Amino acid sequence: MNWLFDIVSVNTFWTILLIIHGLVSVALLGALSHQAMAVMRPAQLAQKDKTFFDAFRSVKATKYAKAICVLWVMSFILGGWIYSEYRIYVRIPIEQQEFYKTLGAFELKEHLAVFGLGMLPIYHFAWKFSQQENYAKLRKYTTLFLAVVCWYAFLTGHIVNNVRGYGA
Amino acid sequence: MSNEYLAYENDLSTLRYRTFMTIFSASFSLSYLLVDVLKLPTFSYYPATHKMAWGWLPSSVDDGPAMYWYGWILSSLLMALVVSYLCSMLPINILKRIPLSIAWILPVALIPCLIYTLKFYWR
Repeated sequence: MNWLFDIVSVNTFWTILLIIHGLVSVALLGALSHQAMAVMRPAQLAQKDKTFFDAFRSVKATKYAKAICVLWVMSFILGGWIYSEYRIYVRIPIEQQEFYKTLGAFELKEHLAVFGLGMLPIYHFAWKFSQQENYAKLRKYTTLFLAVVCWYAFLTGHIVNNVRGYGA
Repeated sequence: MSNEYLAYENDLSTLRYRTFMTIFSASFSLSYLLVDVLKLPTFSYYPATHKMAWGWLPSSVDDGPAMYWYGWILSSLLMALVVSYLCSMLPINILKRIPLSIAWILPVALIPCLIYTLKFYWR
């Protein structure tokens, strides 16, 4: 890694990594939100009658499954990489400031992200056989679980990022 | 081989595959919670010194805080793989009885337990 730090400073490197992690998470959040809406309330209106919300959920949900798996794994790897830096340079100052609930919420995010990772194989299986009606409930609830976890992780990540103020 | 037999074989392999995935999701979350509570990470990692050690080791003055998250993931992954493989090898009549819903119900049911394990922070 030393060769890399000759090009960019250590702080810049971790900031870039955090931004990439954030961007991947935004893509994942968007994909999961579309898919979850599509699976919860499939749109059945004719094209001309569509509102914004109808259009939001009238995506081909099957097409999202592989991308969601790839984005989840990417986001997880990036997050896991940043986590070691967080443990030293972020968590300790937050502990010193006694923001315990924020830390707890972040720890829960890490746990839930692992649960989501473990759910990816069955989620992918359910969408792989998207024509099978007997997997409809499985598709619905695994997608919903991943979407809720993703939203929670995204919001908690933001809170932790901002807890000590900009540039802290 | 007859078409009937091929269809049966295909069904059986799909059933085993489905069972593996279902049990993996459930057992991964359960084993993750267990290795967290029972302090059974495969390894501990010290991010300050980039040192790794097998099993659970406490934070130290020399190496700084210890991280167990990576070790928990590896432990639960190994446990889940073994359990899922064994379950997928069960007789077909048992495989058919394994509900798919266990794949998401168990992780959801374990969330309150996860929250409880973090009780130190809720003050």
